[in-house]
Amino acid sequence: MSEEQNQTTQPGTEYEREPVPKRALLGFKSFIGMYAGEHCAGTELMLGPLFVAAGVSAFDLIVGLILGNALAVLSWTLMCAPIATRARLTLYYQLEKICGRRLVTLYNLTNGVMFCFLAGAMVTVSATALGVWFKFDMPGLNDMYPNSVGWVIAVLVCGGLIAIVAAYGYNTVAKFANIASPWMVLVFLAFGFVGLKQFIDVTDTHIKSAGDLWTLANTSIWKGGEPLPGQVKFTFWHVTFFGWFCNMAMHIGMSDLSVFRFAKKSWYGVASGSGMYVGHFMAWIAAAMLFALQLHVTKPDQYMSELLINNTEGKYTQEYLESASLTPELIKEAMDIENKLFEDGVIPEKLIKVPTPLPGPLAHNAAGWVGLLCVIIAGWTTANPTIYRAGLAFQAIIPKVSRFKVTLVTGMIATIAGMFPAFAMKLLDFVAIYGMLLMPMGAVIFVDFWLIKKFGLQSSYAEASGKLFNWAAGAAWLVTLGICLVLVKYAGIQIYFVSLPGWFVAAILYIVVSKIYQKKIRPAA
Amino acid sequence: MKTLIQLIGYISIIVLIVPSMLYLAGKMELNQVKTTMLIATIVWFAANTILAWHLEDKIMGKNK
Repeated sequence: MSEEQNQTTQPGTEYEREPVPKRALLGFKSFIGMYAGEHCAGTELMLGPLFVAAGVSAFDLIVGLILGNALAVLSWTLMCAPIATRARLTLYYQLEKICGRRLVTLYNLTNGVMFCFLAGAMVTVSATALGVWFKFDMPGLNDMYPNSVGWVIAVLVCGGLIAIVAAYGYNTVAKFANIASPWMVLVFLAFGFVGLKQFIDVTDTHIKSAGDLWTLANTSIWKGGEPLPGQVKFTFWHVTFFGWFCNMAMHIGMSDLSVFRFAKKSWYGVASGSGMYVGHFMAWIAAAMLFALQLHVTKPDQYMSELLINNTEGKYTQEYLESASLTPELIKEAMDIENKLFEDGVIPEKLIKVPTPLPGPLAHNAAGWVGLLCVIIAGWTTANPTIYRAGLAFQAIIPKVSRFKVTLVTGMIATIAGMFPAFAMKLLDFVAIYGMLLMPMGAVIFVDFWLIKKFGLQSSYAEASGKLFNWAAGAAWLVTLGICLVLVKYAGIQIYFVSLPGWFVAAILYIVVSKIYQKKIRPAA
Repeated sequence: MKTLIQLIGYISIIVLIVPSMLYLAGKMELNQVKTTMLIATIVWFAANTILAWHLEDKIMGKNK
């Protein structure tokens, strides 16, 4: 984020309850820098490897991300920025005019809680770097709860420091983040180069053309096939929709109205492409490559080998397993055998652990101390504004408590969340849920801004009627979430896709309920 | 002075990425890459911290 941009769009600063004046508008370059920095974060080190754990193939990953990111950029450019540059209001003020103060409070609470959990995942990422130094037991891919005292202390130290710094000196960290941003992008790129070279070496491949590189990607790096046990299989459409919707709260959900209200033109929305193709393409691919390499070079341990050799009637030999990579298929087969032996009482406990993408060790193997620094700084600089924003959201609900105290408590909640590895290990699902939760309000804003008058209804109804809770918007939000939940639970639609039909449900519901609601309580105006 | 520090910053960011490219091309060892990246990182943050102080002093001076 540039200096100028940082000073003006920092949460809670200027023009909170008025349109941004012409003199405060920013140029295209400010948005390029801001998006490139914001979307190259600590969580990218988790998301890339989770794609590998989900069993993506090279084509699905590369083409899916190109398409998904393009759809995300289009969503910013065609849905969010046009409203932002016309109304020039913050999301919260725009929502307050439509929904009323009480409903916005509920929205703030939801947003604040989700920010806390997201910051928790960032703290988790940073804490994995400490594990490389202090050698404590780190959580596994399918762990939900903290698994060692060392882990709890590491998260407590990382999260506590982040919380204190966010409460005391948001601006200092924001300035540091500006300096760190280009450095971080290049360290991610270096991860990619190092990971690729190591793949070339361990597979003894000779790359003479782009075709050779593609073959390596397809046959060794992202082979597709089964996901790791406990993970959902990701196809081309999963990757595309995840790329599109992982920032759904910001584009279709309209959070970035607060950012693009400073843009001179609505087409500045394309600046989000810098964040998408640097952070959500290059950084994810680089991080994914590091975990794919870890899987490729890891061999079945003695225990797993014995299970496979002794229980598969000669299918596997010691020689074969000594040279075999630890594939999801192999792990699953060994786990099935182990489960059966455990149920039969032959073995007292289950010992097979699924390989876990831990950003700290992955980055350390690729770039040494710089890799560890990158993990810590990426987690810290992105958790800082996230905790700050969550604090602001909560402070809007309890305005009498100081920002310092609210931010500190928010940081502590994020730290406690960070102790639970589930938020980071299930980040693909969490991000999808986050987008889904806030998406209906984006549909409400979209309809209220562009369509509602065409149906003979009042836009910004709460402001016009003086209502504190616009039930049409409230119903559109809550009923849509209920319907999405039913679709996921009973109709077999996965969480990654449900927000697309959900948006249309919210839009239609808002119009229909407004038609009934606004008729009954027509404002005097 | 400011221009010189800026130049050092730009050079350090190039030095940060080039070793990994050389490693990819098989022209450098991984340990050397890691060491060079660490030195480049220190120089990058030092140069930019000095520049940030310089900028702050300038803004403070203007405000006075």
